Amino acid sequence: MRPDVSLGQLHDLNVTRGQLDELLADHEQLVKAHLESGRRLGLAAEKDSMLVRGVGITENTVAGNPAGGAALLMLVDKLAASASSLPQVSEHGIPIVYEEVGEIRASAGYQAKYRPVQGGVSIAPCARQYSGTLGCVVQSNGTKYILSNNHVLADTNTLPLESTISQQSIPDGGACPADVIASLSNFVPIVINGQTPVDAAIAAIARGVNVDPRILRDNGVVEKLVAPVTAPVINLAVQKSGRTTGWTKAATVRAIGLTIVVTYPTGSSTLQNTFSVKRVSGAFSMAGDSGSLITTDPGNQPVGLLFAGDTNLTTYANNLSTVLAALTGLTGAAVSVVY
Amino acid sequence: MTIPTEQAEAAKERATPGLLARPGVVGVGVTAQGAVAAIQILVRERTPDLVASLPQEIEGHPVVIEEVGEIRTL
Repeated sequence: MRPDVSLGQLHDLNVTRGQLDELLADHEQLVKAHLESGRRLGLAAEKDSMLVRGVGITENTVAGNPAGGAALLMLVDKLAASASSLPQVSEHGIPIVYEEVGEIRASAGYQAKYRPVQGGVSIAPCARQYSGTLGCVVQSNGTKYILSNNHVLADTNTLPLESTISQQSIPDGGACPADVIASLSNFVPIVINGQTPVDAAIAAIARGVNVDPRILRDNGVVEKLVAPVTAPVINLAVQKSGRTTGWTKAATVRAIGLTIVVTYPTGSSTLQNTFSVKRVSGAFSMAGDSGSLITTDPGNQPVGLLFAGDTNLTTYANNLSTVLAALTGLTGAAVSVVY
Repeated sequence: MTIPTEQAEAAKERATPGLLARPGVVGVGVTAQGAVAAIQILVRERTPDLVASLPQEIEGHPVVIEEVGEIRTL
């Protein structure tokens, strides 16, 4: 099956319509020849061969090609010694890049129940049938809170304070009161037909709930956040963990200082101090990833709070410094990230 | 490589209210066009009339128009 990739998604790579057709045809051929058949690359011996875990489209970063352009990306379980003898171009002469990824696990891991609670996992109000993501832990005046969006923790201004929050969400298998981890403390109101500073809310962590402020990555690995919060800059490489798409990387900041009109269930609102994130191939986030903390990659410094997306698979987030300032203004005490 | 964006951000601030007042414009920001800072205008639908009505540059900064459909919460 050909991937559903449009020219617009490759807009930085100077790909023509004809090149896109060749790219998609060769992508399809590689998927059939290796991914679907399970046929290994390289030499016959298992230790000298590579299992293909994914096929994608990326930027050609081969040295000596300053023009860039697109390349085919082959994700392999490991780069064996025989990797140097693998084909360097596809049938239509498109460069092939090989990347070692180990095992790719379904992001179902992010929808499971976690104790201690960690950043990047499924949460939602007990009273709602949707799912969102726990961004990170913040503190104010000695109290610890989980940080996510207003539209996740307060269902866009509609839930009363003290509403209970479940980890995981109800659709993901959470059951209240057993899985309650926090209760809604404060939210920055979403102003329909007006300006909203940030889409953010905090919920106080319930007594007796064990929380680890680190962010869940794949295979149960947790990654410590690194201070301080940093501002998004164009082309900054970023990552996130979220309930639906799990850990996504290979993404960069596309635009900063963004003022955008966002569609909420009851109308639209204008949000300032946002930035956009784009992956070369595929989505950085999908429905259920709202609330994810976006961090630098590498570095893992907090950058933004993810809250929206568009039809081009572009992700939008509030600057985290703006989020903390808005919450500080709301609560009257400094709100800061727990590292 | 870091692209200096301060001047483009200031120009973007001044231009934003007028641009967002136009039907079909759903966002204004600062992006990169090659190695220079550019003003990014997000439109719901890239119609010829709307594109023709938008500036090609703002205070000397190039304008990049991007069709995004609806921006929705995730």
